[in-house]
Amino acid sequence: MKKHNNIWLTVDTVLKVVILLAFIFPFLWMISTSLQTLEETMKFPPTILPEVPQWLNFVDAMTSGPFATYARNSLIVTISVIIIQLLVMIPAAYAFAKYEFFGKNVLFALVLIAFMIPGQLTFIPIYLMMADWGLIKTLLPQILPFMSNAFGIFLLRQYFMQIPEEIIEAARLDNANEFKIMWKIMVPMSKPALATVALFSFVSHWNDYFWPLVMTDSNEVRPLTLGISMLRETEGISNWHIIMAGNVVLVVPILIVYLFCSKQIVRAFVYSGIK
Amino acid sequence: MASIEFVNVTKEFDKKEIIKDLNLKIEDGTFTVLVGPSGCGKTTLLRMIAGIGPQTSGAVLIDGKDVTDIAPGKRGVAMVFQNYAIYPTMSVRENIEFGLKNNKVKKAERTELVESISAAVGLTDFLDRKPSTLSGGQRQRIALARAMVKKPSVFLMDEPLSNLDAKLRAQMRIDLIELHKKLGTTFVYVTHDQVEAMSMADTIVLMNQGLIQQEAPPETIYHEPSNIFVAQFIGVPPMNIDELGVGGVKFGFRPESAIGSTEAGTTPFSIRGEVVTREMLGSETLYKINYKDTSFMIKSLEDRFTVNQQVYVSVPTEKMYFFGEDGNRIPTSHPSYSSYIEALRSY
Amino acid sequence: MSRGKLWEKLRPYVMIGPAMIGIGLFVIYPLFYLIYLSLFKFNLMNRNMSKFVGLDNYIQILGRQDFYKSLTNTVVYTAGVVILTLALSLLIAVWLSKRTRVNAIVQAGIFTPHIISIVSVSLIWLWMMEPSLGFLNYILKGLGLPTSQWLQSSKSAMMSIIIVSVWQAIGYYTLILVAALQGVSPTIYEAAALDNASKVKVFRKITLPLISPQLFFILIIMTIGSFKVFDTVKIMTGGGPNNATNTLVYYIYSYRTTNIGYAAAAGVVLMIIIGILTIIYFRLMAKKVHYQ
Repeated sequence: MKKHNNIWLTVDTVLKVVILLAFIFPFLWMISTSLQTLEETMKFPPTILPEVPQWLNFVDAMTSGPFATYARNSLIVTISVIIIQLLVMIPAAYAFAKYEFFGKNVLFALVLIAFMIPGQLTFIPIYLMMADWGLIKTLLPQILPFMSNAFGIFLLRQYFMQIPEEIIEAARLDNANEFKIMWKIMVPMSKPALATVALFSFVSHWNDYFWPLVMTDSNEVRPLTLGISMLRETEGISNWHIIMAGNVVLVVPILIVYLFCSKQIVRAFVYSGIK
Repeated sequence: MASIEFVNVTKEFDKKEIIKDLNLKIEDGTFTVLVGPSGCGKTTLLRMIAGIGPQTSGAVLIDGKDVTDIAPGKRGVAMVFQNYAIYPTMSVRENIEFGLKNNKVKKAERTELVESISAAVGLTDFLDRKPSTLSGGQRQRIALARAMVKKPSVFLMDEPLSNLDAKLRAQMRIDLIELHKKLGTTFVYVTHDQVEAMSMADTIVLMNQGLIQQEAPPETIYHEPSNIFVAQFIGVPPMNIDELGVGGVKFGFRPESAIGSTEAGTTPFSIRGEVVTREMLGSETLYKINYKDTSFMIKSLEDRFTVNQQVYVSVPTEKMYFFGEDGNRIPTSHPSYSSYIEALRSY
Repeated sequence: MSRGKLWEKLRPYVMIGPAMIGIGLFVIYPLFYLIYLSLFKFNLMNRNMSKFVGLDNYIQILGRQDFYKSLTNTVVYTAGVVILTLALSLLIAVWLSKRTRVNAIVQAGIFTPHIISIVSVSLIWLWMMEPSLGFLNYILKGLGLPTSQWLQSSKSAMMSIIIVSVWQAIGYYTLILVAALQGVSPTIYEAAALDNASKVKVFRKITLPLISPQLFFILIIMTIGSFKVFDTVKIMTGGGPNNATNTLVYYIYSYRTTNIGYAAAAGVVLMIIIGILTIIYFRLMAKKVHYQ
């Protein structure tokens, strides 16, 4: 009986390692390729480990285009989106959670609808609007449309609603105005929810490909994702070592964030799916 | 210091009247306890004074001034909530300081106030801790300190002791009485527990279904209840009440007024019944006595009877109460009073 | 009314104002604008030359083979992704639902692709699926299996894209299902064990019904998400070979500058599909709230 169990345990563990490899190996393969020479990438059977790591591949990748600009754009867009979203979302969620006002249900229904409308539907009209406003040469088309994070408003409202009314009343008796109640009491009490929303926004905007693709037509305003995806055109379709080097640059920041707050990120994503 | 006055106050929730046309004056410096069963409107009154649940119509006056349009934080009142409503993300010090900061009190003065108040309630060692690391009793003290530090002219408390265990609750009752004496400000205290009301109040306001049943000092409420509801709400176990059999009048007596004996009594009310249960409470013993198709509770300082024993129960005439058909107590000066006493003989 | 009272009435609207402006300007208004555009032969260079054509764009869409091709492709892609992801993630979730260290590591591992940009994922798989030098064919050869042309043949391109999408999505849905499975009270399983129920029976009669709300959610969310597929197609195949992977959004995208009115009409068709799916989604959500 004992022996039988041991065999199963071994099979179980081996299978888990295989599964894990199926999801991790492609990334290891990317890193390995990024350090190979062109000749090594052209071999079949493939080279598993490069003989001498080709660190210059990264330099080649990064000098093939204005990558400093791309990286700067990615950072500016991601950070501004997060900040603006938080500033817009907190008062809205507070009002939806704690005030009664005419039209509240209809307006909140609009938030829920917005939650379901993808950018793939609205990109043509928004592009035309941005063009009319003369903003296509700026980063604003990548920032402004995301000012209202419907998922964030929804999640934060839920969170605010769980905060007991007495705490707000106590603060009112302590002569705190509504602004102070929101920033000094509600916001500190909702840190987990805010972190969830911020992380989710960070990951999705850093990674975004579709929106910058349809909103930009010059390298000055393109983010890293577009720069990397264009490596195939600038470096040639089969220069896999350079393409993978660029790819590493795009993946590493996210992986570092994931390494440090995997728990929060996992929770953020699970939340966004269930609620 | 301040008096509080409700003038023709009405409160509706979802079109349902919780309080209707209520008038009440709470004198300056008293310890007033609003007591009654849950849903009677006592907390609603307290929240009106605080301004966090304004009345639908009528006026609330503090020191003769209508405060309807004055924000909660500017009324000079402080409140201790049932679940304490401590700000969980702030340290104990920040909790106590929050109101002072909002009132733009200078830092030096603030520190001094916080230190002296926290010393008074025994929180000095915990000032820089987070409330979540403290016990229920200590959190209670934070809530109290937070109210005291503002030097309010009215102290509002909404069942502040209900989350404490029995021993701590008894201690806190004494502490609150002393605090009231020391501060001399108006205390308005809400509870559903008549023991708390009796033990702490100068004045009890007993409410039921949005109406004030009686407003009087504890002794009066106990000895001269204005109606059956008051008579039965105050006292443990509640007053025994039964039909007199004359014109819908009811009679009543408190379990502690009854005298149990093995010999027949001489008072107008004297019956012979059987002991069905016996509860030994220590200093006193409770008996349930079956008589005809009803039963009475009696409380005795001695533990003399056993279950199934036949005993005589008599009640001194001056401790008998009579209530009219409308439930109101019939005063001794009532012309038919003596006839009711006589009617007891044939009960 | 005093100034304070007025402000109290207005305050909620001021607080939700920015959020509602954002939603109105960048979600609601564009939807109407999209419908408006779909009624025009739109000239991007010279707006004044734009011509109202009524429903012409729609009539054109319904008569064009390449539109149906992209619609069919999208449906095939959606069916493939939804079925495979649901089945695999349920299997893995049940397997990994015990709270152990190893399981937590495996879960975190298979979730990793989900937080990586679709650009990276696509590029990595493009390289892995390279027919003559790629790692996948190397493995297949090593195992003695026939190799594939993967993305470069119209026969296998769609399958390849489905594989990449499933690979990226499994970890996420596994996490949601693991959370659902762990939410089932263990006492129910203990009761079933006392009733001598077999493992298969427990799964079918107890576990599955209890996590069915989450399964339905996943189903709808995945279906909506799959209908908008674009990034993988754009990077890996460009809709080819021979339109084999041309999907609805890619179709709209390819007309976005040359024929805006037509692209907008195709967008409206997609909007209707997503709208129907969304209504189903909200119906389910209302039901779920109701049952709790």
